Amino acid sequence: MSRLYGAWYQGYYDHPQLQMRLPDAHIQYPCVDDNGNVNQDLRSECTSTLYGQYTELILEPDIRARLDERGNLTMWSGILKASEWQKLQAPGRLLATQQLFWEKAVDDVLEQYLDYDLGNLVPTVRDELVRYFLEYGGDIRALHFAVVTSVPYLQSATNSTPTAYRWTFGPLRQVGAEAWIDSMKSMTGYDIGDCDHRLTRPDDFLETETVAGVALVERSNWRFDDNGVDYSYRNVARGLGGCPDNSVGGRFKIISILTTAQQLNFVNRVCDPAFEGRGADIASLLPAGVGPNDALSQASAAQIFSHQIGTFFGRLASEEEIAELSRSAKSARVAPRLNLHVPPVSRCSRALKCSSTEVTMSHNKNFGRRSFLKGVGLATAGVAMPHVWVPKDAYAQTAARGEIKHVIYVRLNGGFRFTTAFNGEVAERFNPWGKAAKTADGTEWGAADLLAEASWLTGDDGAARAALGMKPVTEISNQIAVLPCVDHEPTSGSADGNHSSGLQRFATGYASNGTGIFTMINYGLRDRVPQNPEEILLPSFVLGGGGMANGVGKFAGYRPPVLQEGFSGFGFDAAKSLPDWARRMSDHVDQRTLERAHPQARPAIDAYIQSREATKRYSEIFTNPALDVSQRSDDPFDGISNNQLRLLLGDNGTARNIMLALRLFHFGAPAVFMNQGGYDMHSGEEEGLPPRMNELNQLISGLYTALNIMDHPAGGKYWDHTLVLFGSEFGRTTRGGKFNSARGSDHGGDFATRWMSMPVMGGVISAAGNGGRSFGETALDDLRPLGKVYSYRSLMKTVMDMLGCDHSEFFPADEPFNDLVT
Amino acid sequence: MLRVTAIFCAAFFAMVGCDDPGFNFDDPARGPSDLVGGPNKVSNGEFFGGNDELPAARVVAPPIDDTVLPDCGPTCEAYCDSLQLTNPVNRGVCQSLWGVGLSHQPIVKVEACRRLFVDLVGRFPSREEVINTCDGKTWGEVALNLINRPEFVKVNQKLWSDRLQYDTQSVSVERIYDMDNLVGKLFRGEIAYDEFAAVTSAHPIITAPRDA
Repeated sequence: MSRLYGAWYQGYYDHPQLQMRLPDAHIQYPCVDDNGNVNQDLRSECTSTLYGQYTELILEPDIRARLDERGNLTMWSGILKASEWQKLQAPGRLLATQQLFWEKAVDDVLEQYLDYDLGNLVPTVRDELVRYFLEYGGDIRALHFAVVTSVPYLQSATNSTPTAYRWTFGPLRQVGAEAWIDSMKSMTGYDIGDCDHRLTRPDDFLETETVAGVALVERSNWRFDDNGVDYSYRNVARGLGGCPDNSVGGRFKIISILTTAQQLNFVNRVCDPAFEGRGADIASLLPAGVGPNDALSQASAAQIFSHQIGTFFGRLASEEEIAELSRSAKSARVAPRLNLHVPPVSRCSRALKCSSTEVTMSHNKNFGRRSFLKGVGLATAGVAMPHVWVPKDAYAQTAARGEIKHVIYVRLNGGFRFTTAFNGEVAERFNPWGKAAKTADGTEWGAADLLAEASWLTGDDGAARAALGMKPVTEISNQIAVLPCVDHEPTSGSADGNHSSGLQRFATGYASNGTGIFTMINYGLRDRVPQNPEEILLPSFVLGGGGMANGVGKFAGYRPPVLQEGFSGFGFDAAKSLPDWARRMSDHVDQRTLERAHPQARPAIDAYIQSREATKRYSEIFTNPALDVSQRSDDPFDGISNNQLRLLLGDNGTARNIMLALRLFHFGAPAVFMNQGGYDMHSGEEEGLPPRMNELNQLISGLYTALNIMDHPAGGKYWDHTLVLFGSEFGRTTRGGKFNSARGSDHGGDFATRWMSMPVMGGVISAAGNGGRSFGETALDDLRPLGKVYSYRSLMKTVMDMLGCDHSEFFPADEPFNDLVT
Repeated sequence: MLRVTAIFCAAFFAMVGCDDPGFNFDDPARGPSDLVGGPNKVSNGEFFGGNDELPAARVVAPPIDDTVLPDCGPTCEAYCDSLQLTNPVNRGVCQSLWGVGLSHQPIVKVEACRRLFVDLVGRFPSREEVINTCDGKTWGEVALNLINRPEFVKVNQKLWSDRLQYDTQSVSVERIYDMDNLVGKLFRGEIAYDEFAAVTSAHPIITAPRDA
């Protein structure tokens, strides 16, 4: 089959209206000679005999073909003719002749609605459905119709059954993030906009400042606010696994304390229990004829109760519920004004908190500190302080095993041109800005001139920063070690310059691995126990995209929380906002729902209940003022105030994420990942990169300064316990010039793309005397490696080892190395 | 010779811009989805099998070992044949359910209606919607009503965007819109699934990222 794809080539298209260089499919001509005629000797390379069918796919070039930057004839697929498209679609037509093709379609739809593989469990279902599907000529609607009107789908998920056969009771599955948010919007009228799955990175188009770019975003489902694109909806959804950008991470479904806390937080915003005026219109939560300031009677309470049951559950209140309401009313001392006590919000929040298709309930489990920690990923064991880790001889270890307590890992977003920063002593076509004129004594690595950018050291603020110890990066270059040649696949013939697979490698180590590096870290720390059983410790966090937080199978329970907008508002504890009688009612509703559910559906519901119960404990941390980095406070925490951190790091999103990371470390978080900048500059790099580097330089220098100021709870400075590293999915290339034709750079298969020249800094590096050292070298003229090439997986394993992780189950062919610490 | 011609032509195209038919912000789609689908739907959309009367379990001892597929046997097969079920899933599952003495779990209207809404339309219904959409209707009628809504198309467009990993950093935004249109045509019944697969198999959303 792959022979039928030989005509395709990944290239770029300079979009005239958007003024962007768009990655796009091109046609190449692998089976023709220099005159454009079919080469008989190569013909078989463009021919498939799969399934016994002879299928030849050869396109011949005509005047539409052009020479590309490699000197090969190619044609942009945007000008293909209909007949050529038809020809290129041979693979799909070939597949559709196979029974398996239709069976796969049927299985996918069964899985979509039932959440289990009925086609495989009961093959006669699959056979019948394939026949039915074909009877309707392959109309996909028929297939969906047949499944959703069938008995496996339209039966109850309650009660127990005499056997465990999955098709003897109905599906109960966690709904997607968007479905839950959209339901909230629909039920309460609370409008927080939308996200658009077609336009995953709207800012990229706004930044073009072209009419076409702005109009494209305006006509999409994204909404604007005063600051540009309104990401309110996306931020909630991403925290729950929805609105994926498919760049750093895809969709996920998980039940965890953090996702539950984010749901509660959103419910809090919608229901607005403090009447701050930012939530849904209270009228939407009340029945017709009842106003928010009306006196509350038993009758009106019943009305409100019934209304909200109808709104959120789509049904009438049961007799049992009405009776309980009546009992509760007698025991409650209800204030005469509705808005003082009774709480539409209490019912609202209870009903809305569920992510599964029906309500779940709470057991008043007695959560100890330890069990609380286990809720991080529900199936997880505790994550504790690194320094109590006892090394295991069986592991391949570094000399610095367990020597660090924290890691900050920053992804330079979009593919970073490392030769313009951390491997700058190279030919002009790799680094048009040249090498830095001056670096700190003892710097071996090739610091580029762009690292000297430091406009943040000018003016009054600059003086204040300098007073705290900030310097240009080129003056602290001897505190940073660089590995010029970090490679995803050292044995591969060429680089992986593809965004999707490059990012997967970056986030997980392989192009098709389901477990993110940060999930591995949490898993690797699963056996640790806190020295003080009363201590509350947080796991690793991912701030922003979630690829690092992927996890399947036994690792799923160790996925780190993914936060989009910090902990603002996370202090909401639903139970505390309810009077006792209302809390009792809620608990009883939950209890009844749990008892009704089919036994096989209960574990997921129970996990959700536990996570909700545990959020009460989390709220103790979430409400800690130290984690609210938006507060402009002068009060020092760990020896530095929020305002000082803001001064050092800046006031942008990444700066806030670094601030949050430093505060999370105080509560035991071992590692925090975040994205920075946007370096996928296929165009405009010549003008655009220097200011971006100025921002990056401030982060590097500010972080170095902050870590050296901050006092660690375990003694010493945070610098002594922390490792900071910067990476990206790949480097960038121009294939010959200083810039490509759009004054930017691309990514392909060459050395410039291949090498991630990664800087690393921290006390453990400095203490080993490795600050300023270069571990590897490239040739000036063509970047061929002259020194050691490190596999990316080895580097990640080294970081895990320094944290004291059990990494024995990951990357068996890659060992951690000692170079950075000896 | 062809290479020389190509260089001249490239210059010509660059001057007149004739290889770019323009950009429409309202419909920025560009790609092969335009070439498929027409006014005629793949089927008439009157699907059978939505109104089966669900039978009782055959009176027989249910299977003891529920780790293997139940053994139906001739009597069980005959029982299932006699039911004249029209829904293909019901027909297929009968020999592992009613035919071997197992019952399905009866469902109340609200539970079923909410499930259909959230799965087909992408959100839970209000009480009014439960009444207006599901009261007094067969499940076939309800499902058809929901499947014919634009929200059903949108739910599935999102699902396919996950499957195909839409990402404007990796693939041209015009191609993403085009693929989204293609999925829309599929779920409005304007193209058949095999035609959808053929176009998708050579769509730049698939072919662009594969060679890097």
